[in-house]
Amino acid sequence: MEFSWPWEYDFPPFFTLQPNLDTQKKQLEAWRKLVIDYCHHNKIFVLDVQESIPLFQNKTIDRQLSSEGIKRVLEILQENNQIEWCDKSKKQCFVYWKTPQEWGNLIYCYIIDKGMTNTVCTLYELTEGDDVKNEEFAGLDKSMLLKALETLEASKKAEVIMFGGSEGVKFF
Amino acid sequence: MDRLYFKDKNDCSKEITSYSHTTWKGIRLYDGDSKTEYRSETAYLTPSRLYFSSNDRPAMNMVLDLKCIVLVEEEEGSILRSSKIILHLLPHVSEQHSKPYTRSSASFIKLAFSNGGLSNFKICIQKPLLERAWEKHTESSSTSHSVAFQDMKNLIDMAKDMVQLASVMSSKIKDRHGDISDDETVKFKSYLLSLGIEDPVTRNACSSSNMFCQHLAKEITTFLLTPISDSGGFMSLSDAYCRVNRARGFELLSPEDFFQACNYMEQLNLPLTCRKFESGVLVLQLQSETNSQLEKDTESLLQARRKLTAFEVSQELGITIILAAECLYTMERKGVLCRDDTVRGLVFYHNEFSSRT
Repeated sequence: MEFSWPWEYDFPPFFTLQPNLDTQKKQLEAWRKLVIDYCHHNKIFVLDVQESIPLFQNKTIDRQLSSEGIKRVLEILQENNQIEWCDKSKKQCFVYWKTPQEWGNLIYCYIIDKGMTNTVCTLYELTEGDDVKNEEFAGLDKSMLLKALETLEASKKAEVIMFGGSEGVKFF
Repeated sequence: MDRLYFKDKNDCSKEITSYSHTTWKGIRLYDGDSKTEYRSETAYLTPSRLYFSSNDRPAMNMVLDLKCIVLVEEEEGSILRSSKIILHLLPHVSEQHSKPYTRSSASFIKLAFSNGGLSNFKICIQKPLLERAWEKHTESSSTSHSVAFQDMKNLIDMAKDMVQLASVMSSKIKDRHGDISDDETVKFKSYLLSLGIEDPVTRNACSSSNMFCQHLAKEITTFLLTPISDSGGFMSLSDAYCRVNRARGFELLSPEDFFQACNYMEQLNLPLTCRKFESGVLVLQLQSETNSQLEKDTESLLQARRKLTAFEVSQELGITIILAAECLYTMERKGVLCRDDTVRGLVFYHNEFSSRT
């Protein structure tokens, strides 16, 4: 399904960081929503800032958000805890269109439904297996999955273990 | 030998007749140690120069400026060689004269006296070298210069006292503001102005006693009211200043006086007022012309066109680009407009971020 761009995307001023702060706030809010929706639609878990440029430009109207603008948008996302930088270089970030907690809960509910508590499954099975094909967390990025499982570990619902040379998780 | 130069005989004759009392005939000149072609010269000595003339050269003399001579020596002769006078010379300096020798490697010339008179010459040349008359001449001309400027100096010294007196009075006025009557203050301030003194009192925003400022404000208003009304109710201060001065023709106003007068207009309830935009641009505007009228016009224009540049606004509303831009910026600040800023230029749209959410 084609991603549906918001009306702002075709509005040229959307790509100029507005000097009027009230206007800017609304503009950045629109950008924030766009980034999240876009990543959600395309199941982007990790965003590379350099490669994200297409998201911040609209070739049809020949406009592009400046690097200063992109920086501001990412700042807003971080303030909302919707992105987390992978490292200090700030070249890549996790995009939390679902938070790790949300992912954790989603996975746990699935496990409960399938009666798979007290069993162990590999991380691979959880995200790539045939059974999970229709689940939202199918194809979940590994680092994101681990973060999700960490939240379950914290609430004593799961434990990440190593067995047979690969990583797995046991649910309780 | 390159320190000698040719000079027209007529130019030399006066000096020679006045000063030269002894002549030496039969002089042969040597460039360094080498013989030159000048074998039979007659030498004349003046306080500044040594002239050589010869029948071979009817029109020109050769000249050596005595200031080039560093040292005079006598070279003892022998049976084969005659005694000579050696004149050690300063290094070559390029000059404009025509010369017998343009370049010489030797730093001295020699004079051989085939007709005698060597010892006499040696004695006679010492005097002008000691007296250095050529230096005295420069001294005398510089003294006459300093005499000429002396009068100026005296004038400046006299003026100094007056200037000091004026600044003392000026500070007294500043301190004793209440004790001096308004008329006297006005009078004295005008004296100071004519002296060109910066008076701290008049520099401030016009005090109520400044008649000049008031009159000026009224005059400017009367003159500019129509042009400003015709050009959309605004005129930049620099345009207004130029127009007023051009109309006056003479007795031009200084920018400071003009500016002070403009700032005074509001106080006098004149139909024009001076206004400063946030960007620092200064304009004279009609009191009746509130910004909202201009903004309403811009708003209507935007409805028709969806987007606007400052240029388009200035064209349609008949105002300067600066004012058009200021209007757009003001509307942006109010949140009515938002901007699209690219290399192609700055364009304004309705603030749809507000209106569509």
